Amino acid sequence: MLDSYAAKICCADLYSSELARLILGDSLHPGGLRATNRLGRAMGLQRGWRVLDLACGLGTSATAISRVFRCQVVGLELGEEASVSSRRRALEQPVPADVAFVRGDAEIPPFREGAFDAVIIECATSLFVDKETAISRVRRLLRPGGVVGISDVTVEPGSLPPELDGTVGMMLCLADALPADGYQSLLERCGFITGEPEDLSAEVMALLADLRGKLALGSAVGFPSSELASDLAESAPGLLDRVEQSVSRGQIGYWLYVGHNPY
Amino acid sequence: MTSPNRIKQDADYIFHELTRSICPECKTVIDAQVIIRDNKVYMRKRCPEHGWFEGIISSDAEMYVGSIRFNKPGTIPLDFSTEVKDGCPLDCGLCPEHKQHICLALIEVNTACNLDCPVCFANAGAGYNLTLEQVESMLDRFVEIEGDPEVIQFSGGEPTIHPQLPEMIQAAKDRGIRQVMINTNGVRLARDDRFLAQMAALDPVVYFQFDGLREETYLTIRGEPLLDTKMRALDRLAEVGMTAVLVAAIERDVNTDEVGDIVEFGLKHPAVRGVVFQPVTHVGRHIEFDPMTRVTIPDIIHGIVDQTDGRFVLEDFVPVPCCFPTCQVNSYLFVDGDTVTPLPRLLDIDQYLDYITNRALPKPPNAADIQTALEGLWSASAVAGTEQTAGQFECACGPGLDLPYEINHLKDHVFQIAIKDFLDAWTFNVKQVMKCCVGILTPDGRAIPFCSYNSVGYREQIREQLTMEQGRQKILSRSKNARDKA
Repeated sequence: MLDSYAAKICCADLYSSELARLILGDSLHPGGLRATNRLGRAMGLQRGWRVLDLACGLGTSATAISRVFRCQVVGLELGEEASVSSRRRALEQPVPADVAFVRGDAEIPPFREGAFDAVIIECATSLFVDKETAISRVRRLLRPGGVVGISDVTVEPGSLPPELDGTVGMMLCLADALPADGYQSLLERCGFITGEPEDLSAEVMALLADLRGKLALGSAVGFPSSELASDLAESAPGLLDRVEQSVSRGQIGYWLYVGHNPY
Repeated sequence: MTSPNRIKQDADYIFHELTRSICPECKTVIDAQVIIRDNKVYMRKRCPEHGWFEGIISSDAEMYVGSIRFNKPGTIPLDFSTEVKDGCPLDCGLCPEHKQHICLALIEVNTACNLDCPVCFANAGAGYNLTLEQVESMLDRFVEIEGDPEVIQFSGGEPTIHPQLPEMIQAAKDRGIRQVMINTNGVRLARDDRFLAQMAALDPVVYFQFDGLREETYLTIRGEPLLDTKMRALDRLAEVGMTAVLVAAIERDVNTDEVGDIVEFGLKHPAVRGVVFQPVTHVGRHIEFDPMTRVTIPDIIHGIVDQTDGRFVLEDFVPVPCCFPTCQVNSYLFVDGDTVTPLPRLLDIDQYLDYITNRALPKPPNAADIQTALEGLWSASAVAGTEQTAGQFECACGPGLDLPYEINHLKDHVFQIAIKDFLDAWTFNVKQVMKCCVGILTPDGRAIPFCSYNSVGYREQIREQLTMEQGRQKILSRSKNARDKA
């Protein structure tokens, strides 16, 4: 069993891989930038705010948030191989002037207290090893009245098919995800005043349909060649049916949460 | 006085239906009869003030009537922008009686153009330039009414001469809109290296005005020789790896004999992933025409079949179910070297897209997936040469076609042909407009069906209003500057 830090590195690298990009798109989470925009609107992001994007992946959301909401955004990402900025440059994706990327562990964010007006955490809370400590730290990063926005995969207790443990489950953010009311109570336990959560599960259904098509193609043409990919291609088709079933029954979902820092 | 051997005569036409249209002179909404004569479909209508009008709407009645069964139930948008007050088409924006959401939205970012074509439905010229802020708020509204917007197309005027076009494209991408297109004559792409590099980085699909391969065609439709410019622009798009869809305006006795060549040229050119044929719409600026012999969809289908040496049959072209099915037909081709296979040969499209005739044919177990994939392709929002379209192509082919290509290369092998017949005052049919899924976004938050915008008077109204507003702001800022200096 990997220790937690190694697991996170592995996960971060997995997410930055070409395969993850192929399957999940540049945003690396269900709903892509549509969901990111929805999260930003639900949080009430204002022009000029200082925003932290925890576990920002390729920085797609961070740069979009900076332009759509006119915020100053810092993206924090753990990936080992190259900085987010240099990876973006390699993809010919410019980094706007009011976006900066910092390398670091999202569970131990290296910023001073009260440094941000808002923190967004997309599809990353489910991967935190010690969720309560991490979210409490997030609250301390926020100024009084600051806002956190979480979007994440939800799994109701005992409903995860056994095949979804392991790499595939990890990839789909399922393995360590909370139930739909779990994130809400996590925020409350960490001192946030919460708003009404929003259900974005339809985005998961869309992602699954897309994933199914791409995997079908992948297996038909023996593509791509990595071991992980062929494992996925072999195991995933039946698996996706099961996930789809779970989503339609409400056992797996994708939700959006907003919490305000009262102090 | 009646003569004893008088014999009753049959009418020389079949009365197909009664609908509503507008008077080509005064734009008043009037009743209109759709009639069939000699296997052709005409619209016949009378304005109390301006008298009778008659014009052709389809040169193949069988095709026209047969397309009706491809009518798919519409999807209701998340929000409407107007109320039902004066009735269709006078409440556009969309009103709650509209029968479809917006698959493809256009933003006309300016009215100016770097050409001065004799044919221009937008009547490009002096007018307004939208600001980036206006465009951003229109995009936000588009997201609000659609939730998951499919395609945005920046148009004009000529959008490439708007100084903030790159920021506008980025703004659309930042909002997660699936496909972003620019609708251009290609002049700036042919000449401006820096602009080309900017576009390459943003990579919108280029909806590229391309009316034919003969210089006379450009001289007639565009008023100047443009063939070299067009070729240079396309070659440069290919060099930077961008995707273009050729858009040909087709006019009787000008380029109806070029449709086959345009398809063949598109199939060979590395930047081109599709061709859209549009019979010239007689709104804005247009050349003299006869409403009884204008070009309609079947003319172009027959033209492609006749001019491509047996590559196509009529059945390769299938009506699009998301809009009113008489508005558009599509075909998709799988291209592998010199082998071109129309998708309708690989799959019985009718089986999946016929929503009226419930034919009891055996369907494969993944029929639902195939139907969804086909609906994605046979839609106004299907954009040629994009990964999404490629994915749908793969799924639609199901087990019948084993494609040995990576998904990123697959899109290079899918070629789209679309034929869109936009309405003008002679062909305007409320029934079609009511289910239109192509909308022009306006800064006040409306989404006006394309043919309504062009034919009913919305374009003139909005242009005047935006031009005046911009003039007023210029005067205000000038007098403010003067005050500041004083």
